[in-house]
Parts: sequence; C-alpha cells; structure tokens
Amino acid sequence: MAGPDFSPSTAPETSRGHASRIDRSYYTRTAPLLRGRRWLMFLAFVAALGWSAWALTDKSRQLAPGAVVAAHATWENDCQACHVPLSPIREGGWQEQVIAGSATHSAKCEKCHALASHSLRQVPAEVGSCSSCHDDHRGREADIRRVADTTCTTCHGDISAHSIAAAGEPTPVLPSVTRFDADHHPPFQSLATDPGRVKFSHGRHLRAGLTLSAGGGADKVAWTYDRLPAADRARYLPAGVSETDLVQLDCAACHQFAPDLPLDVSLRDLRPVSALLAGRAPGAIALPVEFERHCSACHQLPADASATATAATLAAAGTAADTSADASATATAATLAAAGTAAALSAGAPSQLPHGLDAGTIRRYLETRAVAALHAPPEGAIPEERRPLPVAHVPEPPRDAASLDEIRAGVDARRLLVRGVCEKCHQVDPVTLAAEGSLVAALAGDRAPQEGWFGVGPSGIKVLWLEKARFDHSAHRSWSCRECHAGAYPPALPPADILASSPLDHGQVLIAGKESCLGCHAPRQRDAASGREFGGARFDCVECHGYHGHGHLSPLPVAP
Amino acid sequence: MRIGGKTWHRDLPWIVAMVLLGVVAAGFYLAEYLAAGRLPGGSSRTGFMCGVIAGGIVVFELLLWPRRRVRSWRLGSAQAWLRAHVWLGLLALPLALMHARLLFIGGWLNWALTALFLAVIVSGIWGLAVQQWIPGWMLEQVPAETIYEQIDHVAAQHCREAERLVRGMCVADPAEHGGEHGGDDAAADRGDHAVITGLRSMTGIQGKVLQVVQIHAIIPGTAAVRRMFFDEVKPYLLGGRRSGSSLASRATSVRLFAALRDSSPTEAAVVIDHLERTCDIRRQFDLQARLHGWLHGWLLVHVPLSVALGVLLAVHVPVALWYW
Repeated sequence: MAGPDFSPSTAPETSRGHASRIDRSYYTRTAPLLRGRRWLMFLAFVAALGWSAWALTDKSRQLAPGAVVAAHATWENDCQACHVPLSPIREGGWQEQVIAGSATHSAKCEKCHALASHSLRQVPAEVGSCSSCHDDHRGREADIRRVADTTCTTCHGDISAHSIAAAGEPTPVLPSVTRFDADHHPPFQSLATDPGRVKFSHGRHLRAGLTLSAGGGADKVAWTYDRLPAADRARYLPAGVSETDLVQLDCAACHQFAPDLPLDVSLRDLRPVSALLAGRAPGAIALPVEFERHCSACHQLPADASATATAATLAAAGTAADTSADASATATAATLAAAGTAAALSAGAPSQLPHGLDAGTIRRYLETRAVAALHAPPEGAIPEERRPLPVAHVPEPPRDAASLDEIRAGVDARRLLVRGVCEKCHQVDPVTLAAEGSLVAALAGDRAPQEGWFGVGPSGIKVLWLEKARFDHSAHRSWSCRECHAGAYPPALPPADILASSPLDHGQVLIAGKESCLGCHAPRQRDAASGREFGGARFDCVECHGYHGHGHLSPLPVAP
Repeated sequence: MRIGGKTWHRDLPWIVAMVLLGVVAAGFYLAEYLAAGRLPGGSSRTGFMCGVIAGGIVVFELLLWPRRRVRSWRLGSAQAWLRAHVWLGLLALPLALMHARLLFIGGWLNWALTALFLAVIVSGIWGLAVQQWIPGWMLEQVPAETIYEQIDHVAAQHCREAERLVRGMCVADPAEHGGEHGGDDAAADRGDHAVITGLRSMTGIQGKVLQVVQIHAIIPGTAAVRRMFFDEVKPYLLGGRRSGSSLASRATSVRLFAALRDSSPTEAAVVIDHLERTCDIRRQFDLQARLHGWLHGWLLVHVPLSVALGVLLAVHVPVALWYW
C-alpha cells in the first residue's frame, strides 16, 4: 500500500483558499479587552462626576484639608466665613503679588479677634495676615496658637533688620533669637535688676523663728506661734505643731496662688489682680504680697506711743516685735523715750497706722491723733477700728497757743515714730507738704510749706517678673521652689557670718535665669559626662512667648 | 514602549531632564521647608508651582488618548508622544507629592485625587515594566503568534485542516452513527490533498508555514486516532484552554500522543504528529492570549483611572483657587 506523501507540495492552493485563512473583518469587532476598558472608562467618568458633586455638597469633609479648630466649628461648613473667594487667605508674599486678599481675610478674623499689635517697632509692611501664622484645618483639638518658630525667627532671627525706631527713639539694638538654647537666646532681660524698694530678707523669714540664729540667741527673740494674733495663728500654724514651737514659714506663707486663697477672700480683694489673672491658668502666677494679708501678723504699725510702749514692754519681756533689724526704728524708740513724750502720747487709744497711706494722709492722720490725744473720746463715738476711714472723726481742736504747741509736739513725736516704723521696711523719701490739708496749719493760720515729712514710694515689687514671657507656676508645681529660687533660701553660713553681711536681699533677683529652664526645655539628650538624660519639654517660642499684646510701651503693672 | 537597547539614545535626554527637574524642585521644596519649619503645602510657593506643573503634565498625559484618535495629524510621532507620556508621567510623581505636602493632606477629595494619581502612576509603571520583557518573551515562546483578535479564527482554521486530514486518512469508528464523528467523509475526501499549517525553523527563526499533504488512502487501524481527534483534539483546538481539555498541558499532551503513536500503525505517525503540532500551536495561542492579557490588562486600570483623575483634577483646581 502506498503511503501518503507528507512532504511540502507544490499542489495548487487557490486564492480563495488563502483568503479564507484570514478573517478580514476582525478589526470591525471590538476586542473584549478594549470593550471592557471602554466600559470601565465610562464607569470611572460617572463615578468621578458623582464624587465631584458629592464634594461640592459636603465641603467640610471633602474640600477642607481638615476640621477647623473647635472654637471655629460653628463655621465648619461656611467656608466664606473666613475665606474670600479667589484670594489667598495666607499672606505669603508671592500670593499677594498675584492676588491681594490677606487684608480682607484678616478683617474677617478681627471681627472676633481684636488683638493688640505685636510691637510698635515692627515694620508695618512685614506684618502678616492672621493666617500667615495661624493654620486652621488641623483638627478640632489643634492649638492654632502654637505657631512654628519660623514665624517668629523670620524677624527675630535678625531683629535689627526687621525693626524700626519709635518716634523720638534711636534705632533699637536688639538681640536676635533663633532658638531657645544657651547660645541663640539672650538672657532674660526682665531679670537683670530688681527694682524692689522694700527691705526684706527671704533667708531670715525662712528660718525657724524668723531669726538668723537657731532658737534666737543674741540675734533676736525667736517667734513662736503663740505670739501671733489669734486671728492669724490658725493660718500659720501647721497641723500637729505646738503653739510654742518656733514659727516656720514657707514660700506659700506669702506667695499665694489663686487656688490657694482662703475662702474669706472677697472679690474686692481680688479685683486689683483680676487683670493679671485674666486669661491665665489657675495658679499660673503668684498673687501680689500684701501687707495686711502677709505681714501684719508680725509687723505692727504703731501710730503713737501707747502702741510703742506696749511694744517696748513686750520687748523688755523678751517677746518684742521684730523691729531691731533696722537701726532707725530703734533710734526712733530711743528718741521718743528720751524726749519723755511717751506718757503724753499715750493718752489716746492705741492705734495701728493703716498701711499704704501717702504723705499728706499720714500728716492728717497724725494731726488727728494728736488732737484726739487732748480729748477724752466723745460719748457715742464710733470706735476707731470700726470707722471706715482713719480721719472720719475729728474732734473740735483747741485753738489756744499752748494747745497748738502741744499738738505740734504730739505730731512731731508721732512723725518720728511712724517714720521709723516705715523705714523698717521701706525706703522713705523726704517730702515737703503744702499747708493746705494740714489741720495744724489751718488752726494756726500758717501757710508756709511744711518740711520734715516723708513719703513711701512704690514698693517696686514686680508682680510679673517675666514681662515678655509667660510662666505657669502651676505647671511646675512638681518642682521644688528651690530649683528656681535657690537664692531665697537661708544661706548655709554660720550665724555670725550671716549677721556680718547684710541679710537683706531685696536688691537681688532671686529667680534663676534661662539656665534653669534649659534643663528641661531643650531637645531630649544625654549628658555625656553623667549619662543622665535630660530635656524633652517643649522649647518652641510660643511655649513662653505670646505675639499679641506686646505692642504697648507702657510698663506692665507692678504692685503699689 | 521598550526602554534601552537601540533607542537608549532617545531615552537618555528624557531621563537626564527628568532627574534634573526633580532634583531642582526637591531643592526648592527643601529650602522652603527649612525656612518655614513645616512642610510646604499646595499653596506654598514651591508647592503651588509643583502643582501647576504636575497638573499640566496630567493634562498632557490625558491628551495621548485623543492623539491616538487623530493619528493622521502631524503632531509628532507616536513614539515621541509615548516617550513623553512615560517620562513626564514619572516626573509628575515627585511634583505631585510635593504639592500634596508629601501626603500629609486632608480632605476626601484631595485624598481621592491623590490615590487616583498614585494608582495611575503605579499602573503605568507596571505597564511599562511588562512591556520591557513580555514582547521578547512572547517572541521566543510563541513562534506561532498570530493577531490576538484572530486567535479563535486561526484555531478554527487549524481545526478544519486537521479534521480534513483525519477524515481523509483515518478509519471511521464502527461505533459511529453519523453525528460529529461521522460527518461527511466523502465531502472531506473530495480532494487529494490537504493544506495544513506547520512550523518551520530556519536559521534559528521559527515561523508558521503552510504545507500541502497528499491524501492517498485510508490507513487501516487508525480508528483510535480518529476517535481521539473528535474527543480530545477538536474540542481543545476550538475552545483552547477554556475547554478544560487535558491537552492544555504540554506534558499530558506528549504522554497522550505517545500512547496513541504506540497503539497506531507506523503510517499513521504523520497524522498523529500533525495533530500534536496543531495542539502545540493551540497551546501557544493560549500562552499568547495570556501574555496579551498581561501586556494590555494594566490598561483596564490605567486608562479608566486616568479618566477619573482628569475629572477630579478639573474639580480640584478651581476649588483650590476659590478657597485659596
């Protein structure tokens, strides 16, 4: 049987046969991949249009880069409450060159936020819009006040080039700041000097018994709790301590913070410091030290010799009020005793001079006291301590020459006494008073100015030490006061050495500088020598500084 | 588009320019970041410029589609367009990221836009990657390659050729009673030859050739061959891998045809060899279809998402300027 021939053959193959091997219409049919792609394109187009429509109806979630801060949540979906269409909200220089708009935006902010300018020395053209520093849309809980350091260092990095002289002032020479560390931040200028004029020794007041030597001794008679007025004793006496123990004050005895105030503090007492407390966290700053609240338990203000005599009697008994630290007070008492006027002055009721009087009021008060000493208290007179004002009741003065001389002598003696009392703590300044307002001058018809009077100027004690920065004591309550106020504590010296040097520290700044801050407010790092880790607390500009409200040039308030 | 090789000199300028522009933009961005102390966003000077350029690139990329619809216009060669499409698209990635504050952004629309952009870029890179090696691999592995859309047509053609050969040379199965197996052998045998498709290798290059086979007479003892053709081979040739045939596996195919060859007369070997070769070509078509899917399947992602990206970009631009 012949087998088939499978070798390639030249057997005829028709053109039709060849043509049938090719599907000539294949390109007219859409391939499945292409068909699917077109369907998907259509679906994607429709989906994108749908998403776009959704975006335009849900702007807060779709268009905004994030939720606005909680305070602005009311306007979450009202973009134009803050935005001006087609104008940049952030002043950034280059956008402003294209479209001006930031001023309009800031005007919208300032409807609610009327804030003081930063500084009179800043260049007006460099003052940005609100949003150039404050970024919103960073979430409900974002702190848009915490701006980046660069918003500050843009100018403060080379502050001389970004500040102008105020009218009548030379061009300021200011230190530049680029970051908070030992090298790029100047020392705290507010801590350069202590303008305080009240003679005071923190070290003495923090020693047991308020003496420079333990238990009193040659220095002074030590204070015990039972010597304090009953009204004040409970305030100072710690639980579990005997009344016969030595008084041991601590910082909080005088430096009180708002949450620490006793419940009997009235709003009227708080009013002078309410401006300071406004906007600050509870306990952020120490309230001003007040004589009546913090000093009067020990420091009495005798206005005439009867009180002085009492004090002298107490002193003789070894329990005198602590008045000998200042030599002038001792001299005054000695002068009075030598003049033999004590008996004459003791006729009036014992009196405590109100604290905080000016020179004219002191004169009027002492003249009234001298006149009153010539009279027995009138029937039905209001006890002095209940009178609303120290000069509320003035008895009819005698006008004869002898009485006038006696009144003058009484006034002079009281003036010496009171001056000594004031000088114990204050720097007093000689003052010449006009005759007007003087009871004695009016009686004698004398119109000549009166010399020999004195006044006590402002204490100069700062309520806010860090004038350009913000410090929150409550945030640092876990630290000992000594960490930053080591100088306020009694020195570790023998009593003799302490007495040899002046214990007064009112001229010293007892607040540590930035070095004490840098232990925490610095990048987390390890000390190579000790291996101890430190730092980690925030140290950006706004941690301590605020931008708004420093535009004024008036000094910050100080205690009277 | 294949990168490198003979066209490397055309890609190199694009690569250099892309890297330079990217570095310059990153330098400006870094400088602004250091100056501001925070990542510049889309409204910053650098971020805005990056956004404008990236947006322009996206628009240009989208123009590739209409460009292909108007091939007759003299707007540069298709190769130049594709090269620009690829390299500018890659340049748009860092620019868009800097515009989007390195993805530290908010707003669902912004996120959708960014996600779409990244998906488009990633799918494009994937497409570019598969184009680097699949065509070469296909050239090696699929010498019988045909036009993708004609695979079924060509496979049916091969099936008809094989069936003509089987009907003309193999004994009809006695159990057959018409139907597909029976068919019209007389009609099939009208000619004395059959045109079949074969593979030839010449100087290392393989290709399909048409062969004419003389048909002389029925070969006795080939009923099994005929049965296997109708039961196994024909369904596979017509349906390919989707038919579920065991012939889709090369190993199984070799084993089945070897067994068939052992049980058939020697004269039937040529028929069996042809059937095996035809199945081999069909497997190559299957592989070609699969590679074609890899080679073009990414467009199912790339193109539709590009359309969506274009729409959202058209919304993003005016909205961003409106609430600048």
